[in-house]
Amino acid sequence: MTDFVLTADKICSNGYPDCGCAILNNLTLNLQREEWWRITGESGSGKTLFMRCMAGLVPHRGSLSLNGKSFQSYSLPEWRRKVLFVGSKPIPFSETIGESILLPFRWRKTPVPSNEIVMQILRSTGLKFDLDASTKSLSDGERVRLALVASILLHPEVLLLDETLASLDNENAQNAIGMIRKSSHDTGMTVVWVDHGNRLTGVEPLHTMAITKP
Amino acid sequence: MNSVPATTTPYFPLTLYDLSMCCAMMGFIVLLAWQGKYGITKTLLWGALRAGIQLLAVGYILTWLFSVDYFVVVFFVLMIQSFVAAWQASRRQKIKIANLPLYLWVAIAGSSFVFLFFSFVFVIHPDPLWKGQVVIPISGMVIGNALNSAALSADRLVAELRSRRDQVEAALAFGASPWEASFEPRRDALHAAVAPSMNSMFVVGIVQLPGMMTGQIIGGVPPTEAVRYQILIMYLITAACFGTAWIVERLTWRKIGAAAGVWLDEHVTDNA
Repeated sequence: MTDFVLTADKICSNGYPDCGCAILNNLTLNLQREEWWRITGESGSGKTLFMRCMAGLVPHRGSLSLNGKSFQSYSLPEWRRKVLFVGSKPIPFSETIGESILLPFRWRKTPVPSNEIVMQILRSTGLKFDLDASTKSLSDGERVRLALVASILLHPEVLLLDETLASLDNENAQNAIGMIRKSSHDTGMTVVWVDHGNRLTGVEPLHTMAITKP
Repeated sequence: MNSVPATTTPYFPLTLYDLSMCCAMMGFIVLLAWQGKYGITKTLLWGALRAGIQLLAVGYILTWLFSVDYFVVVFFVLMIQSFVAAWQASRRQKIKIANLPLYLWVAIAGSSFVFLFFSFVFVIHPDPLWKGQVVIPISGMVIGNALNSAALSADRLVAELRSRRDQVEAALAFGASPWEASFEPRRDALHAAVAPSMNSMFVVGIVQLPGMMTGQIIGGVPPTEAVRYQILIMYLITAACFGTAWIVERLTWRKIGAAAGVWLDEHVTDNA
């Protein structure tokens, strides 16, 4: 008997409350701690929608559970704090880098990490900004790295990344993967990627789930 | 405020003959419109005719209303004003939300009536409190402005939630409550709704003299008295607009979100 951290069983969704199966049709996925998964599928097959369902962001049918407890037994913010979704084009939450990273801690009412820890992780992604630097002029790639830093610091149990590496060059993508690997090792975090390119080549072991249009 | 103005300023009543002379102005531009083939001759004529008839009729109705001062009648007028306002405000919305006219009515009537009641009890204190001569013109102005506030705030909330749905969803994903995640759209909707009445407070008396004050001055009320009423009206309108937008936001934010494709936690369940 294996212990799964997250199970998604027969998930149906079209993004709307009627939960039709036109896009996602009975998808099932079982994730163990520290596993790395890659979700593939052609454009329009519902990869992003599936991730948003697992993150508790859109209406869906089927059952989700986390650490053996059902989706309903968590409040939505509780669930999302454990299953964290990062979109492909993240937008900073605030006007400064520091605030954008710390605001989610205020939402959670949990203690904020020290500046040293934040800066250390920020530097490991190649971002050379100070915490009070403005987020206004950040490029897409820099925004992605900022969002990744913020999500790692929040220690989710499952990290869902939606083509998050697409706007990074190869070197920065490898740095980001390295940072996430380390965090996954340290905390047992499970990581699910939607990845079109071959950014994840070399990551071992890597499980793959292919989604096809119903 | 029941005292007669101390100094008597002249008042110039219009006879029906005077009125017929002002028709010459309409006649003149109707002629220009007809000659230039602008295609609005009929509309102009019809509009001028309707304005004349409607206002003459309302003059008689108000005269009767003011003479009887029945609470029921004044209450009925307030209801009609607020129902029409809610219906108009919801008609302007491009989005389909069940019971929207009801929500907008609650917002418009709730906010307007609270501040109107306060003003009648503590500021104007007419006798009786439901004195039609005071209540009906003032409530008309306030409810008319609350209508705009309700329409603007709902409209803006839809637009902001639509254009920022990714940002709102990202905040939800990072653990914000739906109320926190929708802060910026809600804030901008409130700003948009309050801006017209708020901004008019800055320019009033400098750029233009508002209609109510102008009317009172022409009617012989000394300007120093007329401005007092105007101050009351401006505060009252701004308060009613703010209150309306505040209620609209609270009654509709989740539903507008759902209609705009942002699930502010309503409908997000499994085993649906």
